[in-house]
Amino acid sequence: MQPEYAIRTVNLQRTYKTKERVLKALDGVDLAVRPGELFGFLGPNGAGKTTTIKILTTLLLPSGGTAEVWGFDVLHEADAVRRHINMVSGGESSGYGLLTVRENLWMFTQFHGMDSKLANKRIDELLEVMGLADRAKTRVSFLSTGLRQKMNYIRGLLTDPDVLFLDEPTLGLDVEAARTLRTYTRHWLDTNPGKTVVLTTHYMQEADELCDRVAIISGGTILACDTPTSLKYSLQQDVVFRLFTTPVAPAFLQAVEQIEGVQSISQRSGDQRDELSLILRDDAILPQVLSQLATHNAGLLSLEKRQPTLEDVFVNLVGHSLSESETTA
Amino acid sequence: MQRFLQAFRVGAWLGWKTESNWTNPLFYILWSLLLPMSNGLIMTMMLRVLQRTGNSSGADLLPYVFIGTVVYSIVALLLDSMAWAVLEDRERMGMLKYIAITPSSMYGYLWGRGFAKVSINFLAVPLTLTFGALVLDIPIRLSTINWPLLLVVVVLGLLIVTFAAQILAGVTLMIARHAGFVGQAVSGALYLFTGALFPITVLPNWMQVIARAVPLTYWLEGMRRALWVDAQNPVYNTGLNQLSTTNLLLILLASAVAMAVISIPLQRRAEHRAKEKGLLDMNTAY
Repeated sequence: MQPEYAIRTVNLQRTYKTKERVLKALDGVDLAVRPGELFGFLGPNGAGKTTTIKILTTLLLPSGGTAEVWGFDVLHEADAVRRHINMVSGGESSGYGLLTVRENLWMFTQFHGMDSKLANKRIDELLEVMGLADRAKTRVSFLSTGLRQKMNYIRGLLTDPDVLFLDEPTLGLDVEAARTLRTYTRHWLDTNPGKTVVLTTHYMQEADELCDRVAIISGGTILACDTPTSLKYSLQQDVVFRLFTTPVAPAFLQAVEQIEGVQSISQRSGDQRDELSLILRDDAILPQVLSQLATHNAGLLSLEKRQPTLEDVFVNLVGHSLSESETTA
Repeated sequence: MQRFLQAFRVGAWLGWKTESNWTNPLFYILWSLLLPMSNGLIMTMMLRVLQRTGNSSGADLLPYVFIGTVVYSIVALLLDSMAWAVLEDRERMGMLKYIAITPSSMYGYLWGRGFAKVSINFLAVPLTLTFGALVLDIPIRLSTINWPLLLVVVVLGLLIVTFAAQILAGVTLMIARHAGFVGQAVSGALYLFTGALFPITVLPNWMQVIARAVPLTYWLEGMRRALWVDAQNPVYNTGLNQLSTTNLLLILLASAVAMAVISIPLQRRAEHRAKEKGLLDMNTAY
């Protein structure tokens, strides 16, 4: 029977204690994900995305609050939770190198108690879909990182989980492989009503394209949670500009932030030029920003007014861009 | 129970694949034989040298040393097997977390890995003992082996070592990669204390107390009694000659029960602690 919520957390908390300090990885996360949703966690490294996934997959105990997956408590009904979930993590080269691709996949179906004949049928189908059919008998140690990641993605789907956790699944994949994985994830959800996917990513476009709803998480707190369209719509009353300039100094950014009506400014430094994302309350504030450019001896190369993106939403909520967060992390 | 057996089967299958698959079968069989055989030969040579230099007590301890050393090779392998599986799966393969989130039994899986390791290497024990009987004239004869005793002692001994291995796996779950030495260190220490190499009576008194508290001391004694008809002869002064075989078996049975009672909750506690501290997917990367 399908539960009301595929995932439900209330005031979920997690702290890591070291000799030097206590780190709050999750600080009161409230979530409600319905069956059938593709739910995204968007945030920089260290935001709390993976910690949340670890708790929901029963790998880590919460320090406080409650979490339920498919109606079962992760703390007291972990075995029941495990019957309904699977997980794929990206950016790692896991797998038993001495086993073939088929053997690796078959082994995990057996951990889930699947009938061997059914398991092999599903393995064949998914190998075909992911373009790995000709590698079924190849030892995993001979696979590239990208192919291993595809194999791991198949492992996640093989057991037909009710809730599939994809933790940065496209990390390290080439464009084509990432697209295949995204397309199939959407297809899997469309053809299996009620199945739920929880995706963590720090690729804005991935979250925008794939997710029904996105939670923007930073510092262990959810700052906003809505559909990508609604999140972007929240910025519709603001004006978003993209400026390319000669390199600007931190003092310029500080000066711009002081101007009344500037919602946020973020900087991405490139080769000989900077890209600035600027969110203003209205167009009339732009001349003041441009005059600051001149004051700080920077030149304007191009200027473009554009529709808000998830990145803009993120900058507006967090105060800096995702790439800046990662540099800091 | 079904989950345990299911995980055991997969663990044994994976253990078989990864333990025996790294080279061609002929080399593997040779390696499996040469390891205990060379240990046995080294001990034999050392003993002969000692006897020739006049330090002999008069009794020929060769059968004692040879049987102890060969049988102990299985102890060392099994004791380390589960801890090694934890380390390999967690740090090298990055797969422990994926096993941990399945509905299968972690204990069943680890027992399967241990079983695979022992089964693959078990054949080396009778083969090496046969080599000892034929080449070194160790007094082991098919007609004098106490088969029922051998069967009971082997089963009880393997249970004791398996539960001990489970404790080490639990410890390994909670610490970093250098835990790989825990299994080796424990099996090394026990080699000294269990009378594998020499009778425990040669140890200082305080060490004898420890040796008598270690169940494996009784297991090796039981194995010697089953294989070697003269094992209980007082001339060898093993320190356990006076102990009747019935009492020895009772000690082994009680030890197996005690180890089960200790190791199962300890493993559960270790798993809980690992989840509490986020260690199930730890990668120390050194």
